[in-house]
Amino acid sequence: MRHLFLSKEWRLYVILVISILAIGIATMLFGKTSISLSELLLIFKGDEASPIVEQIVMQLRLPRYIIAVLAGSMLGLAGVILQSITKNPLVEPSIIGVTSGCVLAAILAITIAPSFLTTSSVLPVFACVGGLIVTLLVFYMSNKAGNGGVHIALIGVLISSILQAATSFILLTRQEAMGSVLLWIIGSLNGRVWIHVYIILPFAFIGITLGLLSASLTNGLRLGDTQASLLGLSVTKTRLLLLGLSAVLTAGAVSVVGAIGFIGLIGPHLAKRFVGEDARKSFPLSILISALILSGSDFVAQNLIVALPIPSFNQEPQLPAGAITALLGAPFFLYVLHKHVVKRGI
Amino acid sequence: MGLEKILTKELSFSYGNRDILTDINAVIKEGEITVLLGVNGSGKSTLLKTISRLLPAKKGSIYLDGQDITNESNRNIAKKMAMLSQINETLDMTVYELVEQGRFPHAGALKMLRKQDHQAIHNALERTSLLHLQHHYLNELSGGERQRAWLALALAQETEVLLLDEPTTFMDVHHQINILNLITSLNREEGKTIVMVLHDINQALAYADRAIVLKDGRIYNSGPPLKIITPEMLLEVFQIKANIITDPDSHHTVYVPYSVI
Repeated sequence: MRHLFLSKEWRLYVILVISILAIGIATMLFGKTSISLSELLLIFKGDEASPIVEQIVMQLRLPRYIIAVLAGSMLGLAGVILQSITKNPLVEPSIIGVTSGCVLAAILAITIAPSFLTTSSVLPVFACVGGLIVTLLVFYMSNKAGNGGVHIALIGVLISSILQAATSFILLTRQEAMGSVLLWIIGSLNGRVWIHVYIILPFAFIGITLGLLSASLTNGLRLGDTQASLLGLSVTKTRLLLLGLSAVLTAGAVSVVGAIGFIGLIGPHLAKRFVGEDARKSFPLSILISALILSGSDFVAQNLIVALPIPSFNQEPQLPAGAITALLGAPFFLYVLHKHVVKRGI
Repeated sequence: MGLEKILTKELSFSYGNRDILTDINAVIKEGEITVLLGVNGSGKSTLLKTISRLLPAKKGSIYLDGQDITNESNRNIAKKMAMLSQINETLDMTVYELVEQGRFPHAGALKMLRKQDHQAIHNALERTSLLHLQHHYLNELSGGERQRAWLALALAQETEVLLLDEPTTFMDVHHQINILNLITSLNREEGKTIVMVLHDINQALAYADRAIVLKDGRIYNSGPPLKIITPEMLLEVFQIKANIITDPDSHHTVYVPYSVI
């Protein structure tokens, strides 16, 4: 009989997958235009439905939802990897400079060649390349500083500050680009369509597969450098591999959805509260929790604007998901942190 | 018994310009308990770390079973030789998760645990009497239990050689004897070759088959502890005046220090 009862982490996986799918169905049904469940079923059965409804579901809502799930997963995995290797629960993916690199590259592209705005598939590629270049720079500098990458968070923060200053400077001199760039900095899923799915998909596939496979290596690192290297783990190489993976994951996500914050912080934190530090459990759980948070936040962002018309947003539902994650995420994180501090006395 | 398990030839190590070990020719015999003795800074811990290759030799070679392992990969070594360094930090993991890492050198490409891995982990936990604590976090354990958990990690590696750096530090005398008895039974029952650094000379007298005494980074003397632990050695190496006596009840030989010079 014992096999009938799933272990704790598998119960969590099942609950989360069902929740993510439920958010998916809700995303298809609700929004500026409400669609009935029977209409939705018609579309997925391949039967005839109204072309407008089919257009909304298949060309707008479905790709957007897929991107939210993928980007959430990627940020959650990048965050849990970085938290594990730095042993710092306050680290999030932007710490290695990849996010500010993506944003600066995107903004440079937008301001130098505004035509990129219309050919929106080129922009993420630019952003991604920028993010990875900055990450390489951070790696290089922290490796030069020695200590097997211990300084990486410090150098990442410093480089990020410089890049953010550059971004602000560009924004001040080229104010006409401010509107579109701002959405990028907050992070948004508005107007994300299939082409963006195709851009994010290879990053997600490669990054998530390799990330899950490297869970045991991450567990090895948890022993501390001395004991890990005694067991035959090459500590510096492994840490670099994991940092590289989290950079690829973050760059892939940020280049498509912008600098959505807090997900890479909260997802891993919640996952570890449920299953502890064992990477083989916390990695998949962080992926699922973060996917749920981002797809849920985007659903809220899309529907809040319909339910509560805010005067300045009266044209299109333009509330960015990044605003929701920050608005809900930051207080929630404070609450979690408070409970954590009280419970564990740290 | 009596075969040479580990040999070092002209082994030297230095931090920058400071020589810590000079031309060490040490012999560790198979199936024996060898204890490294010496004052702080004599190089005993460094010798253990150099043999385990945690520290790179500056000069000389290390042989295991007659093979030169000076430049062998850590992973291959970790299948033959387990090293337990001094533990200072408490990790946020369960006993089982810790012991599981001992299978790292043996695991396949994807590091999935196979049947023999689970068996090895179970045996290591059983040997260290930790089966009932396997799902507890390390920070919930007492100092003695935690030390046993780290020993279980080394046992899960299923190696013929165990290198232990001060396995009894920070423990009360009850737990010290407990862990030394466990180490002895691993040696007697499973034939493990054990090399350990001990500070307590009486424990070396009681538990070691062979002692290697280091002074200023060189081997001062080596041999059976009863032969080489003498008032003269204690005077020259430890700078203490001491008598060596045998307890009439237990027949254990102990040293009794009475003065520092």
